Amino acid sequence: MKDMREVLRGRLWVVFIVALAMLFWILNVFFSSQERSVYIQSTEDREVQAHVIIEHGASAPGLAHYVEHLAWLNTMGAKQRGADRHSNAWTSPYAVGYWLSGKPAELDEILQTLSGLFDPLEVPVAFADAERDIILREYESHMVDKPDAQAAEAMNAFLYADNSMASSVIGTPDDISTLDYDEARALHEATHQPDNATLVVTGGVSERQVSRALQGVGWPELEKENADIAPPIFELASPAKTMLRYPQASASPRLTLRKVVALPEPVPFDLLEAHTTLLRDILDTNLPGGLAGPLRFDATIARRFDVRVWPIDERHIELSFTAAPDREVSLIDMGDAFEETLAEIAAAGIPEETYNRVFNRLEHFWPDWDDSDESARWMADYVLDRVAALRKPLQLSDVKRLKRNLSHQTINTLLNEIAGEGRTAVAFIGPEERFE
Amino acid sequence: MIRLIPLAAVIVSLAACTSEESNEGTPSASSEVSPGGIPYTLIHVPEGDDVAIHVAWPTDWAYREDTNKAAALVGAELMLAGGAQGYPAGEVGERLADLNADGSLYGLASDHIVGELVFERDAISEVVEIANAHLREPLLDQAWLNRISDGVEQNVTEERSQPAAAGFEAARWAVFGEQPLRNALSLYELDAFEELARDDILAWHAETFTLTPEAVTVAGEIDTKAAGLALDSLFEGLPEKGRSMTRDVAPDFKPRRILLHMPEAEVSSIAFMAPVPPTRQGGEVEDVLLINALGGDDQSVLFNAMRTNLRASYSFGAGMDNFTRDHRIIVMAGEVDTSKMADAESVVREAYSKFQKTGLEDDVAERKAPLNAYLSEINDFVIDLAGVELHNTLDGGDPGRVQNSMDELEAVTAVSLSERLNDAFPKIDEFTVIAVSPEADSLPDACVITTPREAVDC
Repeated sequence: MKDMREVLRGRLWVVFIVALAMLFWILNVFFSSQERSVYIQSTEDREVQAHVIIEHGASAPGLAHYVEHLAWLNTMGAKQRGADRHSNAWTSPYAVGYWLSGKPAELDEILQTLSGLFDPLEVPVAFADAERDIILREYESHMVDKPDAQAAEAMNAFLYADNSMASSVIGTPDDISTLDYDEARALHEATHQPDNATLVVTGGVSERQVSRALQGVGWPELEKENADIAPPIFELASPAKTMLRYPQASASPRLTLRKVVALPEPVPFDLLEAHTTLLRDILDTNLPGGLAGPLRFDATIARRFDVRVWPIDERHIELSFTAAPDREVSLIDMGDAFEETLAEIAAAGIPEETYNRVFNRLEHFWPDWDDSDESARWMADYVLDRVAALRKPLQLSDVKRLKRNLSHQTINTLLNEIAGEGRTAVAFIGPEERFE
Repeated sequence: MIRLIPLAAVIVSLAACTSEESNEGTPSASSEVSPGGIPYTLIHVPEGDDVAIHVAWPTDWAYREDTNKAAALVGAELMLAGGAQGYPAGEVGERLADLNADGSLYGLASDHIVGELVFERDAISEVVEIANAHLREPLLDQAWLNRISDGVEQNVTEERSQPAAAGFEAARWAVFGEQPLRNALSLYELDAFEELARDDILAWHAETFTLTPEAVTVAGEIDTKAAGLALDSLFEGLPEKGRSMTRDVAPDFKPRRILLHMPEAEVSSIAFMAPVPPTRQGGEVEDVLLINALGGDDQSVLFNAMRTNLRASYSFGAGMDNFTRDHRIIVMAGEVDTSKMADAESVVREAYSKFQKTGLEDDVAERKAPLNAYLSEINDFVIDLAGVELHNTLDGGDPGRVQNSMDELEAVTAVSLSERLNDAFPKIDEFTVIAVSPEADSLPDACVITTPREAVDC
């Protein structure tokens, strides 16, 4: 006869194993079913950051930004927090984000505070009205005497016409002065709901610690059914070109040319981003296929320039070229030279030697995957970046595969498209006599 | 004008470093001399591929009457972009990109020209050879000089037209008047660009880049033999000895209340400025903690006073900066609602006075935590290690600034912070106040001027 203690011990092991399996199942179900609303990226950081990202869908210029200010005041307002804890909030054309940092041991309190974002706005009316003045100061800080910022707003409106991205986040002084608290409350109530929010937790905490903290504070997300996050659908308006002029006698003469084109076939967003990064790096060089030779080193057209290429979504990419002209070169001539050079490079294609040389430099776009801490920190930034854009981030294994899927042929295809027909906005800034 | 002190500056830049090459383990610092006789501080990092070399050459170019003040600014950029003997402009940038290496050259607080290199250890010979050529025989071509001079001049002109920048220009006039250093800091007389000749650049280059730098640091997993040989290659062929420095300047920090009336300005701003002891006298760790509490974030004294309570400003902060390494200042500044300018001055005065009297009202340990976290993580980044150590050497500190700072931080208490506030921070009446406004009566009883130059008479 077996000793009873042995039997009990055996049964306890069975119970333990079953419980462990159930725990894994619960955790797995929880994180897989909630993966659209809770993302966790553990790192070796000494602090933890919790971000809440909410799609706002507002079209009225400045309103979502006003809500962001009020919601943060409502949530953080008079609450005291440790001097080692930081916070901030932001608004994009289609989402608002709020974050709070602190020690890992304070995660419960951080999440408890952030859950206040879903509480009704109760900021006193007089304070909410005065917040419009603060936003006006913010507008002055970012826009007044800032022709590049003014041009960017106008270019966004033209390039992204009929899309949410065309809308100004901060609005004009007139927009700001007419912001209405009741409308803000209505937008807040309609959008700042758990089933419309995504939580991203990064830093020195494990998934289990986050899970416990969420349950401990009764994070409202646990009780809700969520929809997939996705950015608003982008549709490119008809091909056209606009010229914007910002004459300013004391400003350094410069030109910004931005162009959006549609791709014939969609490309997965992350792969497209890697390709556009590589294309940008190639165009930036003084190698055959780059812009620096024809515009800066072999000729005196642009004394400096900056080129960028990025995806808007899986079907559209954008190019931005900002440059300062050399002596005796007008902004319009410099813009023409850039477009002609880009067309010539596209027609000839990127030489294989250049592609291979710049491709070899791209390894620094990603972290050293053998360094777990560096990789984790990179993934934390990546996950947050994707969720902030209302995009679902790839798994680590899929991110690692991106580099091997880059191709010379796709680079040339993208180059041909960006040099072809699209929607173009050009801004001239500086003394007017340098424009033509 | 507002630049944070080195420790604070690297805290801000930490986030940008997180994707760089990481080096595990605790570094050790030692004073070394290369086989060729170059003294340097070696920060030996136990693991990692990256190496950083930082060099500070002393200069008094900014202090002298007979120098073209644009030469240093244009010259530094020209040396980097314009090519060198054996390295035509435009080619070396591609080679450095292949090697995952980077270099920079810039002026530091009017007293030094700092060169920085960061590269993978395996590329050390080629990177040092390229850098040596650019230090020893830069082409300094006239066509490149023209395009860089144009760019710098245009940027200076644009910045000076901004109201807030004009306010700081007025502050420099008030402090330095007609002394040469003032124009070196602000390049107010644009004749400097029109008169800039290649000979000015040649003279500046010849007297600056010598075999007698004031501070050299090397950081990375590199031994003394390799580091010493690299430094000797870096300095090979440079002139033996630089000139004797004559950094004569007499700043006048007499407190004033100045209003720069700019009728066309759409935004008003106010700044408070006063001298504080130079970093070489110590107390920098306390200063970082105190400045952050005073005006570093949305929980700071000034943010609460100006935005949360007075509702006059979107953002109002504080920082410390060096006019020169001997003349350091504290600045509190921000844009404000024009109609609340007078109230803003009173509120800042009251908030600062209360802060100086009561000190930190929150937990000192919590205040220390972000700096402690930064200092713990800085060991992963050779650029920051070399940079912090370079400043430390210029201040005459013992090797190992990061470790020493952690010890200093550990020793900080509420009492030591309070003592620092009382002993080193100026009283509120010692600040000069400079407001910029489209309304001439925004700051009652202030010395009203219409151009920055007039501040010298206030």
